[in-house]
Amino acid sequence: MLTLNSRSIRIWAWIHKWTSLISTLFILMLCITGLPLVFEHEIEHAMMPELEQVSADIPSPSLDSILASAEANRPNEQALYFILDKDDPLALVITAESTMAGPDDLYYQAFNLRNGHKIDMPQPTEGIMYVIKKLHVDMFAGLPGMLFLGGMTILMLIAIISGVVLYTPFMRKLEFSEIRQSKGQRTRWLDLHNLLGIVTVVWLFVVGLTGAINTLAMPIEQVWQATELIDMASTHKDKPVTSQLASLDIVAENLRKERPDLTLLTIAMPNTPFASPHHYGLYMVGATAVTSRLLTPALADAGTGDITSLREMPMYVKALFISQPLHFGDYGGLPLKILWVILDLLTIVVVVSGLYLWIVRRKSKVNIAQLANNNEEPE
Amino acid sequence: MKSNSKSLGKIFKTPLLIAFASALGLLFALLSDGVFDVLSWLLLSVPVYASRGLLKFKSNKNISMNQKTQKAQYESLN
Repeated sequence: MLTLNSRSIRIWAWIHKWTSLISTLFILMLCITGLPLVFEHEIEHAMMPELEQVSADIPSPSLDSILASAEANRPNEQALYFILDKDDPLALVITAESTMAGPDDLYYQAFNLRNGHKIDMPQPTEGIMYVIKKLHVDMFAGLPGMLFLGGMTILMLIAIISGVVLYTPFMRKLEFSEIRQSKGQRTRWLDLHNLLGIVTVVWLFVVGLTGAINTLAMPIEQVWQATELIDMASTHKDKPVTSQLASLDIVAENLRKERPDLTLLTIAMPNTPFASPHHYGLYMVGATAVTSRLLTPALADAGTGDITSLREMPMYVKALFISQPLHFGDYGGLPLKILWVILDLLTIVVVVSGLYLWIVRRKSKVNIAQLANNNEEPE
Repeated sequence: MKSNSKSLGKIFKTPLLIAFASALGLLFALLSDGVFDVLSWLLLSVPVYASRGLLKFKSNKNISMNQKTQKAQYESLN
């Protein structure tokens, strides 16, 4: 076990100082942009008009007719994805000029599933929430940006661990949550930093770790596509490509028969990266708290609509999916989101107070290690 | 060690309780809906409650505002 002698305190203090300093500005950006993102879903829904109510005895239009509407609205484009909303009778159709289009070239249209009417909504790739999200996810720098932020987050995790170690010497003579208000600026800000730091440890570590895992989303997707998806589609490898596509409604019905316990969320059209030249790609979720966050993939023959492959996602993909609710805080209703925001604000105070303590230490020329060593007795 | 220095166990007793409550809170809402969500809110309120010292935190300089005003008034009279 590590003894907390003068030398190890110096080492841990050095680790804490440098991992904090290097990552501070990025962590602050992540915390600040994270605040409105907790309510992303609510904000999105607020920006959409009310869904027209349709009486239950009027049958819904077919999914095919909605797809056709969407494609008719965009003459030079083809449909890539058909996405069904989890909570409302809403469908999102994504079109683009080519099946290999990047995220910037996609066009989004929303339709009321109950009457097939197009819903007037802004493109999700425009507006302030889009800017905030891009800053948070990759600082507009794509995969390198995501991985960089993942790296900064790992530095933060090391800062947290070293911070917990350093808590020891500082709390030798203080009661828990004691803040020495009557002493100087540095002392009271130090006590505040230590208090807020230690109470947010678990929450921040989980949000940070799951955030870092989320930065691996693209590589994880690519590995899955190159291994599992190809394997799932391999039955049709040498067959000719069909020209007449099967009805979406037939595909959805086949899926319901095969797995009545699952809800279809996304249909990837043939030739898109999450399908195959011969198949529709289908992505479903379960009904329980955990399974509603785990996608189950399936492939349907593009010509007949028969389900040709259905399997669980591998562990590394499930790890990514479980990291999402734990990072976003959107899995426990509104009270959980409010607690998430409060903990985020407390984290901002930890980060800012830490930065303040580093800036003012220059005046007194006393560093973390010396302060800590003053409290700690020699072993 | 000096007699008024706390042991490692004493230093980390409350932080560990808070950490345990946080971890359980994060897990519960994930496991199931309904009562588990409510338990999760209660457990995650523990770290928030533990940080309430922030509300009484005085960030201004050594002299309080009252004293500053009194001092200024005294000086303006002379």
